[in-house]
Amino acid sequence: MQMTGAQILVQSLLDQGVEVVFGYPGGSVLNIYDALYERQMELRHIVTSHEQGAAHAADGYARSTGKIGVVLATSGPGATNLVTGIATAYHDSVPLVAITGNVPTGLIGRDSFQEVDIVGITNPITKHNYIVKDVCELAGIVREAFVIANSGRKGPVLIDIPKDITAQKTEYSRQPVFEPRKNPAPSESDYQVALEAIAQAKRPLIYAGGGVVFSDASELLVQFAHKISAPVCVSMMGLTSMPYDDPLYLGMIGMHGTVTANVAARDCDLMIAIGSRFSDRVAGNREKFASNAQILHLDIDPSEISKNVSAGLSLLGSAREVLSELLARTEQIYNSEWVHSLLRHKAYHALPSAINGEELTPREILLKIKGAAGKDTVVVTDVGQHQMLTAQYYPFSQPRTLISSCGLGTMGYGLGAAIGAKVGNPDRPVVLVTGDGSFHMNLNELAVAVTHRLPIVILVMNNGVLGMVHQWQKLFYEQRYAYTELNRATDFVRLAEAFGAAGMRLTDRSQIHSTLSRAFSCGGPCVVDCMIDRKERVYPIIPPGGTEEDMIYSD
Amino acid sequence: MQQGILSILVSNHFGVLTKITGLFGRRGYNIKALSVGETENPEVSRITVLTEGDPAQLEQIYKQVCKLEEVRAAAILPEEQLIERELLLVKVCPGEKETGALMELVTNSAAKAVAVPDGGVIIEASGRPEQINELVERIRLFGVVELSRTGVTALQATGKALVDNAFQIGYSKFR
Repeated sequence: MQMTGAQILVQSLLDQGVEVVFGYPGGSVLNIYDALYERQMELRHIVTSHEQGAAHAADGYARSTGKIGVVLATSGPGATNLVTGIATAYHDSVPLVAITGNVPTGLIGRDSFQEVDIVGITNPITKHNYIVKDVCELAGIVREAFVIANSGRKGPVLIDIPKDITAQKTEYSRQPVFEPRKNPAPSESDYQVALEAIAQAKRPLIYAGGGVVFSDASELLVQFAHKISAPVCVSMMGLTSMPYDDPLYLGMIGMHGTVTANVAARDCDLMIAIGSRFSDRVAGNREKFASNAQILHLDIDPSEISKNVSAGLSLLGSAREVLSELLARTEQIYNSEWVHSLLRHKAYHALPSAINGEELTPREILLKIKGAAGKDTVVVTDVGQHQMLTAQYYPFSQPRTLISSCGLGTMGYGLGAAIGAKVGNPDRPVVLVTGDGSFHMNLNELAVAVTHRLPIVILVMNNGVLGMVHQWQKLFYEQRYAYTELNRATDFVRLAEAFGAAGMRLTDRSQIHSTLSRAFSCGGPCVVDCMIDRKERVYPIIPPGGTEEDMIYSD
Repeated sequence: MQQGILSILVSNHFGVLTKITGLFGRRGYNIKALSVGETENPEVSRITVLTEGDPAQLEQIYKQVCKLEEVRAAAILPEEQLIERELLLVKVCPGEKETGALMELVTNSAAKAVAVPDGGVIIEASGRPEQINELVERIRLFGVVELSRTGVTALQATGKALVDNAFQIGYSKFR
């Protein structure tokens, strides 16, 4: 059947199982929009306020559902506006297919109107990218992009399509639904060496990361930890991989991790890293990190082994496949002395109290969300103090219920991501925890939540300052609060109402539950302006480059 | 710091060289020399990179290169099994009295010389990079007008091709 490039693109997306595309129209994608219009009953399209919001929405959709997020933008500024979103997805290994229009082939390289070399720009932040130069290759490229995005370590792929290619006609032949490539698998002898190390260990510690969540291996992780009696700490990406109330769970490790997790990393004799990458926010000091331990690294990406911290042992494969093989080969092991010593430690070294007299604290709000919204709530965050507090205090009990920009630390990520999460999970409550700084960056997307009647609850932890930078200025810059005390005059309640959303203000701790309940039941997007104190800090903190010895516990 | 020669077979596509050099640049790996050309298969180009680092860094460079979608095979060529060559073109304008000595050097170095207009001579030589360095030093005495080197190219000294050898050398890309 003869089809235009634009029709082939839309048909190919449908053939690959895509249900929704986030994006923004423009000159170079007019043909594509025309084809989307034709197929609007089959392929949902959500137009955001800004392309960055669309990229974050596709990312939030992908993280929360496990499907591939798709985003579409026009050439030039449309394409460059995607860049932060693509980089965010790349840092956290989120499968994304980004499609950009470009100027017609004959105008490329002539500095034409709205021309930009988006392939060159996105080289460092994509797994792979294409510029389509022949309409006959388009369908194959789309399918291959889905294969690459979803194979091995997942990540974003970009397809740049010049406008003339979207107009040209060719014969379309249907491509089969993509199948991810086969994952690497360890050899039997690799397993034997690893099992020997596990059997010998007296003080094993599991350090789980995003690879566990993204390969749907959370249940296997819990079983494995109990089978070998290894306590579990997680990176921020690894949060939700183990329920918060599991007795073996020690919480997050690293800069804002729990004392017990960091002490366990110091004292363990075997660290089993699973789908995690020893980032500088976990291993602040790479030389001293887990220096008493042998390191067994399970990862799907060969280049992660010994990239940051040298691993003596490794098992290359997906967390799910490797954990299931390990489970099948392990007998029950007991390390009760080690486990009990850490549990005692944990009991004596809890995080700072959520309640501070009659003050309204972000911690107490975070602890009360679940009671008002329900167990299967998807929690989205922006970046800053509220994000770290969410990581520390929110009682996560199901995988994929935390959506956050962990690696790139993208302020302004949250609202777009929350829209994507809600579109992908219409039956689950979605809450965005943000700060007044982050929310100001991309609050334009509130218009989209209103248009599509997405009941997202937005908790703005409003302290009038850029809290995390403010905290670093207090700790490391002699309280010289340079340009972080913004004190904007924005009235978030009226702002919400101006956008057509509901707005509420929370000033008193006695009102937390009732305010949250009203917000979650109002049936549409709702902004809750939570008036918190600017003296709130995130503790404990290990200063950058430090170890658990350098940990700061309070002001 | 040790040197390593990375031999990379890539799909002969538009923009692939940029992806390789971009990777080196953004991860802070040094490219000391680079050569590129088509192979026996017109769909495949070979990129040869002379780089440096400690063994762990070389391993990391190799693994990062392997992750690029267009890389079909790659290996750090083992030093004990290495044929490495570089081509030199150097232009000199010797005085009448120096011509004899220059031609003697050319003959002894298994180089070639060709006269060009305006009294110039272009000397062409190939060899291991150290040999080329040495030759350049000796030609310098005659006054170098300009010179150009291709960067090193290399093959592993076995009867097998890189694609066949890649698994033995540690090539570990899963497709």
